[in-house]
Amino acid sequence: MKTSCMHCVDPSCVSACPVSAMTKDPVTGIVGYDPDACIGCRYCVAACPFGIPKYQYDSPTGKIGKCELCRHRHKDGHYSACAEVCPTGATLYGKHRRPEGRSQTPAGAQAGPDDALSCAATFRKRPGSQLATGRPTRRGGNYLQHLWRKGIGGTQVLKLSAVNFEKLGHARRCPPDAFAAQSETHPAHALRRARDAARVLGAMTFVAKRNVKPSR
Amino acid sequence: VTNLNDGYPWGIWVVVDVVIGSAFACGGFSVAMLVYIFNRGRYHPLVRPALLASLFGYTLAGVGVIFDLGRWWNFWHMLWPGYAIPNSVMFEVAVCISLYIVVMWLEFSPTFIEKWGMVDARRRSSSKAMFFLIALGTVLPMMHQSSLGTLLVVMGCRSIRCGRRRCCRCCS
Repeated sequence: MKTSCMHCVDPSCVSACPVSAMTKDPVTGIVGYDPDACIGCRYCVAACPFGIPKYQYDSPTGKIGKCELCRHRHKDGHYSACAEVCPTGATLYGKHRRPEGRSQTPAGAQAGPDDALSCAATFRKRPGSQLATGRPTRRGGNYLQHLWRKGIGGTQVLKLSAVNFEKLGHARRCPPDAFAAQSETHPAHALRRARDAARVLGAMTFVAKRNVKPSR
Repeated sequence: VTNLNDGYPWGIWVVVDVVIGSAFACGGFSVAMLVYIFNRGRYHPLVRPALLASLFGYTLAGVGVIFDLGRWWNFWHMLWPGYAIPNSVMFEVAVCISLYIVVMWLEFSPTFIEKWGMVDARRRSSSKAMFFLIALGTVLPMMHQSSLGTLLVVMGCRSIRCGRRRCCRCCS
């Protein structure tokens, strides 16, 4: 199966990145990468639940490589090259409806708007007349829709398959919430951590003040 | 270039600079805890050598980690307001470790001040600020060790709960 970035609603790689090299575009929803900001820590590689970002280990000035839905081609009127060249319509590019997982997006995370650009892959089922509208067909198939709808907070790339996803190297069922939501230090969480640290610091300062002898 | 890959993301130098360097460096923390927090004054002569070992261990590990980064010339982005993302756990680790290195140099500074003959200044400053630096020097390592563990949270079920990717209770 075609494997590329799922453009998660609440992406782990963006949550992991310490230097804003991984970003979620608030308009298009594309998870993009900026090599000029990147420090090459490869935390995004470890964080991605789909194993998508990869680092160029064989280059002394390596970058992260990942699908950005060909955002550099948009200004020339093109769309994702994979969908543009696909002769059978198995890979489609267009807008689809708001993923349901969006409602679980934490306040700090940026999710794309309803009409976020998305890439859809269908297999063993030609989309036929629906190709023109850019909407993948969802009739007639017993498709598993866990991943896109509620897996890992929702993704903006929809994959349809008549074959069990497990046989295609994908998780059949993902936990409903984004891992990023658990890991990110949300404002309230950060405040709580800072308050706890301040308390411990206060206690340590009190004890140290009592125990540090004036110098000899 | 370095023959690393995702399966072997760490080189042998990481074993030297982080595993051995930081392991040596724990002496400063534990002896400072022992002497100043648990008030075991008879171990006081150990403070300086332990602190020196910590200083070398952590400073070398800190510098070494910069070169473990793939794009190390951008390392300052970690601490630069326009780039840094406080939401990232990695940011927390970077801030705690850099602060701890600075605090350790300050904790060790009386040695230099003595060497340069400014004994009066040392007497004044140590009684006023040193206890706070020592307290910071105990809290910061506690914080960054907890953030190091938090690094695994974003990996979800792929981290410590399950060795194999996408194959555990929550993912299958």
